[in-house]
Amino acid sequence: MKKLGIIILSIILLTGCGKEVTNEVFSLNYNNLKINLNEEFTRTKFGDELEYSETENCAFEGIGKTYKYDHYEIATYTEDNQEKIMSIYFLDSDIKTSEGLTIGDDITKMEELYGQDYKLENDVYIYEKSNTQLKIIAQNGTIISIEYVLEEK
Amino acid sequence: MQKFKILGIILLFITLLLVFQRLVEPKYMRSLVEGAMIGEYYDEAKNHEVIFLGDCEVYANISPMVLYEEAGITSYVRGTSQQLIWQSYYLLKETLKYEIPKVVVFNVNSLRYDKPVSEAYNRLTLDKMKWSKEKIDAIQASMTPEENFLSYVFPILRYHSRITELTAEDWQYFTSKRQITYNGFLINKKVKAVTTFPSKRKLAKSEFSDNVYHYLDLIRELCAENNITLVLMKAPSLYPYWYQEYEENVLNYAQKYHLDYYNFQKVSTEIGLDYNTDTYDGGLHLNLNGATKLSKYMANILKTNYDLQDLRLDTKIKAIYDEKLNKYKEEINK
Repeated sequence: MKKLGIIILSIILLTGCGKEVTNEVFSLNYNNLKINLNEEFTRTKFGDELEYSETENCAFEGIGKTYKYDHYEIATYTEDNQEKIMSIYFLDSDIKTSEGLTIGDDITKMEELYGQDYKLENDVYIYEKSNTQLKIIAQNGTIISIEYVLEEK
Repeated sequence: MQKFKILGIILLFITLLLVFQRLVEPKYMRSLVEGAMIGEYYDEAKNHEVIFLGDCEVYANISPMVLYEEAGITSYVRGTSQQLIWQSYYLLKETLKYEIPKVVVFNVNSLRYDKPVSEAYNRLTLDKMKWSKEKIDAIQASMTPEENFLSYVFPILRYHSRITELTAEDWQYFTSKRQITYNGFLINKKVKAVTTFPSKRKLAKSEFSDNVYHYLDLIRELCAENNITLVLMKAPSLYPYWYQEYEENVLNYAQKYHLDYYNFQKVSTEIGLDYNTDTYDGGLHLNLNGATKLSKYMANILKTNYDLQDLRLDTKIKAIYDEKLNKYKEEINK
């Protein structure tokens, strides 16, 4: 009995309960910029936007701010008086993910680059790394939407 | 003697626990007032010919006081922030235990959500709902994976950490409350013109989910069983985007079941809405000015198309509504 306990304990310790602990997150490298979700948003880094919009929350305090650039749009939220990046949305096919995926590519390429370890929720392919997600929408096998999202924001 | 002593200690402990619970639970009287809306209904005289259901697009946009003043229609808005369709269904079921209206108007914006979205919004709809089978069912249908049912039964489990964040509101409204809405309508007089919105996201799925249709069917069937006319509406809010695909889904549903559907976005000019002056948050909700215009338009639709009485001719109801109208006018003229 004691031996069995030691064996089980050893397996648990060696496998870490089967759950891989990782701090890896999705980030975007574009035009010599590395954009991380949840990093502080500053105009110093991104420059002046083409368009700015604000959307208020229903009932709760806080304003969602959106900054539109040539090929992507950044949405932010405010936490502890700091404006942080909540999502990065691709506006066209002139921008690629850090791994090389763009709007207009097909699902096969997506699987080659990111594998098949995705969740399919309401026809949205969701890849997860820590608290960040890469959300991809395809229509007839062709990718029509790519967005990096901070989970639960 | 010993038994009485123990019983006394237990009672004292329970009393202290209840006092502590009352102290830490949100009062929704000065901040997050949207959480008080559902509770206000219970104090009302239940004489409503029309009940509105839905999210902020009803409680910010439809003023029952205007419906009464314009057409003698008595109505109540049982709306809450981000009210999801299963919550609308259980609220309707609960409402029918108190009264049977002639018309139920359901705002379709929530059809885009097919699963619980946020605990914070759930609380605004469910916290002040009276305990009933409908509340239990509504909680169970609404909970996000992180929530647990017991925290609704014993709010102390959810809110105990507020003890370090208490404000004057918690003490002021420990035992009292104040009026927040006018028959469910929340007045907002601010003005913020429409400017720009975030880019329109691509839709992955154009059809509403089976779960959403299931609850829409339940609402429709519940209305039919009680001889209530169900009317669908889409408020003239410009954001979040109301996709053409959503519009077609609602039109198809309305056609299939012979329901009236009014999309007020399409007739905003006819209503007289000016998105520079008639919205308080850049196009998401109408302000008092915009809601008054929409409600006048709605009063005409209800008066013309449905079998509603002019209750200004009923002396009892007139007395109640005259008082309400006075208060309402005082508030809007402040």
